[in-house]
Amino acid sequence: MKITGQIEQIFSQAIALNQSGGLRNTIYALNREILVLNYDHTVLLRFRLRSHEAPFAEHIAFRADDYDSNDFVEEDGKIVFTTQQNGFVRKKSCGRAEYSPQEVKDLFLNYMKSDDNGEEVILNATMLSLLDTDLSHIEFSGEKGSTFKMVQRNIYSGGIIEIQEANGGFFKNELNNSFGPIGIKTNDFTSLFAFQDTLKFSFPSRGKEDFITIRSMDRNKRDMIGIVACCLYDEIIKIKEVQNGR
Amino acid sequence: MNYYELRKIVAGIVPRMTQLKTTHRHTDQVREKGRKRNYSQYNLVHKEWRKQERLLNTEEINSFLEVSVRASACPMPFNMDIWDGLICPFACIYCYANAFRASLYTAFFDNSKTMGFRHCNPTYYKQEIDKMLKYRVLPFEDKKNLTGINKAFALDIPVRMGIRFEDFLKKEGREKVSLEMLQYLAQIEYPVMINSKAFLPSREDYLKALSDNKAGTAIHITLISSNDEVLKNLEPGAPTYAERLQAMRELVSAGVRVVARIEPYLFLLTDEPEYVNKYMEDVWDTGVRNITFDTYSYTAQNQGIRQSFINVGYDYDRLFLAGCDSQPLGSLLLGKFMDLFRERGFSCSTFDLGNVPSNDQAVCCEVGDWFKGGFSYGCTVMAARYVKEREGKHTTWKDYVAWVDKKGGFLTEDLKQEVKRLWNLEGNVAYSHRWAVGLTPVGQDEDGNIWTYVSGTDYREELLKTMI
Repeated sequence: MKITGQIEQIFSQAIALNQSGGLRNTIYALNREILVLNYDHTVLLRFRLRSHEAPFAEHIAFRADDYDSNDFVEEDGKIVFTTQQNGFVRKKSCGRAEYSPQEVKDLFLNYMKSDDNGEEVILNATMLSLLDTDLSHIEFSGEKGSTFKMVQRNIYSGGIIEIQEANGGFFKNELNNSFGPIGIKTNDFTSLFAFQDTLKFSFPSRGKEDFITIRSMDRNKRDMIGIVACCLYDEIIKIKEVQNGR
Repeated sequence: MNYYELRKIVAGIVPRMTQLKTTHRHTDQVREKGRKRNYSQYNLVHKEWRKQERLLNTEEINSFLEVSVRASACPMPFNMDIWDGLICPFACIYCYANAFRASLYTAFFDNSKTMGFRHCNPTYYKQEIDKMLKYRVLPFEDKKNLTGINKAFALDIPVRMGIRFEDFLKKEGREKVSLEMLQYLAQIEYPVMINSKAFLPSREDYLKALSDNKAGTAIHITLISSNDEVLKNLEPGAPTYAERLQAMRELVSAGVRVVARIEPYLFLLTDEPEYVNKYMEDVWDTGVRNITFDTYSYTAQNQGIRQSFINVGYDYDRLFLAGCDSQPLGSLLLGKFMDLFRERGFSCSTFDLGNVPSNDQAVCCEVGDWFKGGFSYGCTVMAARYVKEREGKHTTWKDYVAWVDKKGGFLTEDLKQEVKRLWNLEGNVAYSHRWAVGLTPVGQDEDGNIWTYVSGTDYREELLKTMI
């Protein structure tokens, strides 16, 4: 199987993020979908192929670290990447991913089974330059009738970065309900914009913090839906699995 | 602000992660370096196959007494390695020593996986220490002219066992190597301090060796929580909470200074009020009155350790960011945590530089009142204490060196230079007294910084205020 165009771009971006320490990913592909699940299982992205793109003939799953070329095939449960260069053929085979593509798709569908009714906020990649990427988390919150706020706290040398929409902005995100505070790891957040410049975030309402959904604004250009598990500001150290209570 | 008020604030700064799906992965703390067994290479000169192996001595540690690499910060840096192994069976998931050994041994040797446990040669140790006995009877001024381990020995700085590896495992109970060394130290009346989680030191023959030592013996028993579930998750192979309490009780009864050791302090994990109260009651009941603490170490920033925490359902990132990665926050949390134990009547100290000025004892191991011999005063912990003692006065490097000299001097010239670099905020600043609350640079002279202690100021609290 030789992938081209948009699929190759998605793979390349997922792999680039992996290498830059953004998201350590595993990539799953089946039928007309590509799913990217990060190492910590805090971010799951689903891409749909466009109608003119051929579906995947086989289910494929591999760690982004292992990706070696755009020409690959599954053989006996292993993914074999093939590269041809100067009359030589290089084959690299790698082991199975943690889950099957169907398992990851089921996981995605479990979170997408109900209508999303969170607080919607549209963000563009240009605002990333306002963030301090050395700080671990971004706190999101907002009050009904107002605009949302992003906060980063510097636990090393002190101080707060607060980011809020200026009056007269192009996208005015006035909230119908209060939400937050909810945290997202800074790396997870910035990584999302590698796939598309403008994203619509849907934050769960206050008291129902579970996960944040992210949708690409231009779905013709790239049809992406992401799920990000919320980071919570309680006094608990046990990691819990997100329960979809919607 | 008390500990639990602070904990709530910090929990509002560093959040907990949740997961879309639980992860449980096999953890390799270190990716081994791919060394091979039975690997030969043809030698073109000698025209023969030669085995390419570098073998570790799996029976014996070729080591002797040493001045610790952490001596620039530590008042008790005199170590004796008895036992060693690739993996400690206590399997504490927060411990980075296994990762360190795996990295070291698998990088350089081809047989590290088969090493099991190995130990020092006690006969060699005793012969060599016998040769050093003459230094103990020198006049004090002559002792000051010695260097390294000879000087540490001459000054009766307590020798420490169990720094790199647990010296009281089951195999020790059969082979009695540590016991032999304890008996020898008792015979020459040399002070000794043990770090352990084991039950074995409370066995009759060990108790006798410890209590027979007229120079004094002390033991740090690491016990970080009273919550059995947490201990089982964090220290799956170690003696239980009840067993360690029992060991404490018997050691105290035998006249050994027992210091409970809460290291690492783990934010939100080992600080639940119900279990902290239980801990204080139970440990007090054993007769223990001293506790030493520390935050988690930067050295624990290891992917395998992180995954081990996640595997048992604990958010490593949260406790590491708040309790360690941010040195000011971790230090502030630890200081307030220690106050809970002080209120109950315990004497509390820590190696965490931020809290050193408020330690209840100058020696952070809580044995400064126990041993009658010397300590290493040429280190940043003691420098911070000295500057604090001179509250209101300016302290120059020369003032400090003169004070250290009266106490026996620096253990080596290299150590003196390293401490001087830290005094001037150079070198590995993680161990610098710049973190010590109240220590303030007030000028410079030809040796660098001049320090003073200003009470009532706390840069950690100031930093916290900027975040809320």
